[in-house]
Formats: sequence, structure tokens, C-alpha cells
Amino acid sequence: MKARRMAALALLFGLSASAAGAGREFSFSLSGGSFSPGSKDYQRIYGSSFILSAEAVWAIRRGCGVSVGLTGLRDEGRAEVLIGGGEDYPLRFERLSIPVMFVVAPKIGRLVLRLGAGLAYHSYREKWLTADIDFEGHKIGTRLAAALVFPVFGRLSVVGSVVTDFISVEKESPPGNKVDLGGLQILAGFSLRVK
Amino acid sequence: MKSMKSVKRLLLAFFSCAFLFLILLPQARSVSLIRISKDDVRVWGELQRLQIDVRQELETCFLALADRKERDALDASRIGFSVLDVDAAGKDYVLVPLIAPEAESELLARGQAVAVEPGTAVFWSTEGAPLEMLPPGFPRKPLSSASVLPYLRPPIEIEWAAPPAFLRDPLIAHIVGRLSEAELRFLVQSLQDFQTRYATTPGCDAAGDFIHAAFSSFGLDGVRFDPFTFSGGYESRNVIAEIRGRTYPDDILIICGHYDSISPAETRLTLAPGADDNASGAAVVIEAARILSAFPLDFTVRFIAFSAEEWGLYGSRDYAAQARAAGESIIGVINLDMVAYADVMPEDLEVFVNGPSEWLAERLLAAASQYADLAARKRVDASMIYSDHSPFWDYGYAALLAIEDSPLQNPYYHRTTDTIDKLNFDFFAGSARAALALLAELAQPLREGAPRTPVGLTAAPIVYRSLFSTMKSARLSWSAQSDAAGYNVYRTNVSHLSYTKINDSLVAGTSFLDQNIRTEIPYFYVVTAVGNTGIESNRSREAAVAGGGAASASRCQNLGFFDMMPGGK
Repeated sequence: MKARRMAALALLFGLSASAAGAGREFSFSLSGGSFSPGSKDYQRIYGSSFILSAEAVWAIRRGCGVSVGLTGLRDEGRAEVLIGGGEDYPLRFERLSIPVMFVVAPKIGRLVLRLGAGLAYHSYREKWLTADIDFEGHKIGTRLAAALVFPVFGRLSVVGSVVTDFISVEKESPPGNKVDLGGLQILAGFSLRVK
Repeated sequence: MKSMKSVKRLLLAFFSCAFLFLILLPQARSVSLIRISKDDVRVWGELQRLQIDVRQELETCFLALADRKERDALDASRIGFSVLDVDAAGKDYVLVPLIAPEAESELLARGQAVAVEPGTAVFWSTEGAPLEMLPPGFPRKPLSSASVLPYLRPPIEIEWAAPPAFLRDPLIAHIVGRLSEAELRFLVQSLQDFQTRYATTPGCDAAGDFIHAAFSSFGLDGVRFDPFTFSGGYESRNVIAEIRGRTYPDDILIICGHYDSISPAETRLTLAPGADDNASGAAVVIEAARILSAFPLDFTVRFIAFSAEEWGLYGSRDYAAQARAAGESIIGVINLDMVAYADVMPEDLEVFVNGPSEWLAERLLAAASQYADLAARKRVDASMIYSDHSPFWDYGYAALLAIEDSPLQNPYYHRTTDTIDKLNFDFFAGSARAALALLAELAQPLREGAPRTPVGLTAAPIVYRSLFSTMKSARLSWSAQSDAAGYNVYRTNVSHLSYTKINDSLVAGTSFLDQNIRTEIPYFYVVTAVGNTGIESNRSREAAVAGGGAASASRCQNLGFFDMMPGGK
């Protein structure tokens, strides 16, 4: 399963590289917004967080393309008490994601609706700031995205997007449990068409 | 005509059902004696979950009484068991060692016997009380009359990072130095001089009086007889005395040995000198009482001479049941049974323990080496149940048996020739010194110039979790001692063994947080006070934080010990 996902990710990278090489339309967007985790555990410990995202989209043919991005998330939280209490353990969670998606982008009047599906490589780290506990991991998960692109002037557009990641991660302690790192991102930003 | 046929059929069906019901009902209700294997680690949790009536724990199995429903439940849980006796209702069973190849056939000639594991058989008889049917001289232990399930403890994997290190303590050495070989000789001779101490004889009563008088002469606290009835109405008495602990009067250490004796059936009422078995053990108890009576101690030490051991551990079974019923906090039991005969020199002392008592054996081995120049050998064997430590195991107390050999090498065992001239007093004194050193170390004599021993230590677990990790800590707190400049905190994973100091600098206050400890293993803590001159006090009593999966902890904060075990609810 992991090997297949890696192969798919490599294929997507390959396609995007070939699209770039074909010299077709290229756009670059930068956005920020909020991440609402799907997991109740995550929600309790970290709540919603600010997320920053950069994305490059190459059009392979009219209305269809490949996107590659980079998403960063950092959040501060507090460890949750199971037994006892009276202590305070601040936590920090960081996640860096590299998504690669197929994108279809039909035009609706001046608006462009960009729909994407693909895979994302996630690297994450959770650190207890006042105790010697650090956990790092990585995972490839699926990603779905929908964006509305509205040209403002010239090559500049505003972008509003909704992205959802599916990142279910095994953890060792307590044994057998899973952590859902996925959730919903609502982003707004600018997009610049290069060619 | 047709309706007559129907009525006949109905009646036939009714009587058939009634017949089957009558046949099957007793079977469904009948209680069987079963052997439950310990092979599956889930067995500990499953026995608790199903509330099986376990009557004895052995090294490789449990013996239990179970009805059809319970056997089906064990089957459904895929816990391996075998039926030893289908109908156990109203029967008494006795556990006996299969000490010789001919032992099993000897037992079978007198009743029914089934080997339950190598070296151990269960014996019963439909002809009479099995204890009376047993061949003379057979060690024996009647199957417990109550369930031992509440006191079973699952095995804990001890991670021995290094052999426990012990330092020779000059105060303990001074105490051990007071032990007198001449006194031991006098005590054994005195007990032997009662001719017989067979539990139903006046000789045994007189020996009890002698021990009582000895305890009283040392000025001990609470010297008393503890009477009990046994084997259909006989009466005998344990003899008990104690030195009440100055710091922890409710935490008790016991040193014991039985004072009754036995010899072949034809002589036991008139001659059973029992010098090795067990005037030797009883003499160590009395000598320890004499020596320790001169020292104030932190913990209470109880000296017990048990009776009717040779009949089936009656005195100790009665006492251990009372202690558990009263909720007594017994830290450990040192049982000495035959500690003076040496078939070869140097003789080593065998120290038998069950899993939860392993720490006690380690401490005795160290004490034997430090203070007695005696080699001792630890043997973890829950099937060594034929002496007075065993009822304490049944009730969940840590206990050890110190014995010269197993299998026994004493050719005078249970004979009229078991007399003082056969004893080796070098070995005997070594055994006595080792036992006394261990007792003194655990009881903690108060030290001149040292701050008072800290009291009121509690350890509360604290568990926090993040998305990926769980962190367990222990919050310790204790009462302030006015003569303390600060405190040291010690920790171990094995109760009473290998404490390591965990504070970098002296703790000024009366609390300490031991952060980020492992969730799955238990931790035991003690605290010492350090005075202005730097002298350190004795250790406080232990406080523990139980091990248990954080997964269990996250499900419910009020789970009991067994709920944390594999197979627990």
C-alpha cells in the first residue's frame, strides 16, 4: 500500500515536471487560513490553527493540470490530563505537507472553479516543551481540494479554497490507537498567472 | 382412542424431559476440582473476570473448584484446564510432594492421587479425611478452604539492570554480632527436652509455655498465646510476641518457625525430639527476639512460634487468615524450617519464594553474604508449599522459607533420632545470623544522631497525554520532620530492592515530582531525612505507583489492578 502510494506520488511529480517542461500556463498562489482538525483529540489538545500554503499549478491542457504545493502548520497546545492533575505541560505540533494533485479547472464566467484530488506527503513532529518527549513521523495521505479563482487585474487573482486531508496515523502509545491528523483547511490568498 | 394416544405421548414426553432434567441438573451444578494451566498469560485476567474459585497457586498451574458454567466459560475464553476430580462436593483435598518414585503408588494405595505438576500431587479419599489417610511422614498442605483469588498477583518481569548492591551496615553488623551460638544450643536442647512436641501432646503445650516465658523475659510487647482448633477438635496454640515499631507500628515484619514436632506414628506421642525440625527454626525466632528487644525499631517485628505445622500448617493457616481478615499490613515473613543440619560443609541455605516475594530472597541472600559469610540460594517456586510461609502466600503476603536442603538430605527427618547432636552449629549460626540481619535491616533500628525517619509518604500517579505520547509522573509528598535539613528520594522498580537516589540536590520541601516514568511498570519510593550534620535517617515506608497501560488509564481512571492486565475487563 505504501509502495503504491509512493509510486503514485512519483508519477504525479513526473507528470507535473513534464507539464512544466511543455511550457503551458503556470500559476503560483500563496494563501493562509484556518485548519479545523477532524479528530476530537486533536481539537481538544490544539484547537483550530493557522495554516500557510503555497501552490504551483501547471496546465497540461485546457482546463486540466497538475499542482504541487507546500503547506505548513504550527500549533501550541496543552497536554491533556488522564489521571491526577495540577501540572501544566505545553506542547507544540508542527506539520509540513507536500501535496501533488490532478486539477480540473472549468471556467464559470470570470470565475475559475479549480477541483483537485491527489496525494500529500506529511512530515509531523509533536514536542513536549517542558519534558523530554519528542515524537516525529511521516505519512502519505489523500487530499481533496476545491478552489474559486477570481481575476482581480492583470495576472493577479484572489483565491478561496477548501482543502481536506485524510491522514490516519498509527501511534505506539497507547498501543493500537490511531491519530487522525487530517481535517478541513479554509484558505484565502492570491494567485499569480505566470504565462 | 386418538385422544388417549395423545395423552400418552404427552405423558411420555413429560416424563422423558423430567428424567433428563434430573440427570443433567446435578451435573450442571456439580463442582469439580480442576487444574488451570499458567501457560497463557491471559489466565490471570480471565480468572479474575470469571471469578473462578481458585484454591491454590502452584508454580505451573492453579487448582480451582468450578461448576459446569464456569468450566464452559473457561473453555470459551480458551483457557487451558483439565478436570482432576469430577465431583468435588464436600470433599477435602491435600497437596503432597511426590518426593520419591514410589510415593505415587503409596498414595494410590490409600486413596486417590493425581500428579498436578512435576513433584506435586493432589490426594483425596472417599474413605475418610485425607490427612488421616496419608502415609506417615508425608509433608502436606490441605487445599485452602477459601478462595485465594483476591490475593493472586500476576508475575512481574523484573529487569535486573545489575545485581542489587548492598552495603554492610555497622549497626546491623553490631546486632548480628550479638547472636550467641551457646544460646541457640540452649534453646534447641530445651525444646528437645520436652521429649515430644507433637501438637496434641502436653509436651507441645509445655514447649509453648517455655517460648511464652522466654518472650516475656525479654520484655516484648503483646506476648500471647493464639489458640486454634484443628483436625476435628484438637486444640493448640501459636505463641506470639512483638516489638512495636516506633515509626510505623502498623507495618509488620514477621519471623517465624514452628515449634511442634513429629516422628513415626508409634513414637510420636512420647518421643519426637525434632531438633532440626524444627527446634532449630523456633530457636532462631527466640534468639532474634532476645537480641532485637534491646533496639528500638522503625517497623513492628512480630515473633511467632507456630504449632500444628506437621499436621498440615494449621497454626499458620489460622494466623494468616486472621491477619488478612484484620487487614494487617505485613511487609514480609521470614519462615525458618530446618536450618541446622548440614550434610556437607560448606552447606548453603535454600531460600524458597514465590514470584511476588522474590525481593525478600534477594535481601536474604545479600544479608547472608554480608553478615553471616553463608552461601544462600534463591529458588523461586510457588509449589514449595509445605511449611508455614505458604498460608501467607495464599493471602498475598511476601514470605520466604529458609531451609537447609530441598530435597531434604537429613536422614533423621521425622525420626526419633533428630537430636541436637546431629546438628551443625556453624551452619546453624550462619542461618540464624542471615535471618537476623535481614530482619534487622527491614525493621530499621533507630540510629543515634540521625534525624527521625520521614512519615506520611504518599505517591500519586499523574498521567498526561498528547496526541502521540503519554507521560506518567509520580507526585510524592510526605510530612515534615523538624530535625531534617532536607530530604532524599529513592526509587526502585522492585519493591524493597535496589533503591536509586533520584534527586540531584537535597529536596528542601516535602514534595517531589518524579517526571516521565514508564507507564507499564510499577515504581516504589522511599524518602530519607538528612540532618544538619549530613547524617541520613532510615528510610520511610514504601509508597508505590502501580504500573498499568495508559490505554487502560484513558478508558477509566478508577480501574483496579487487574483491569490493567492482559485479558482484564
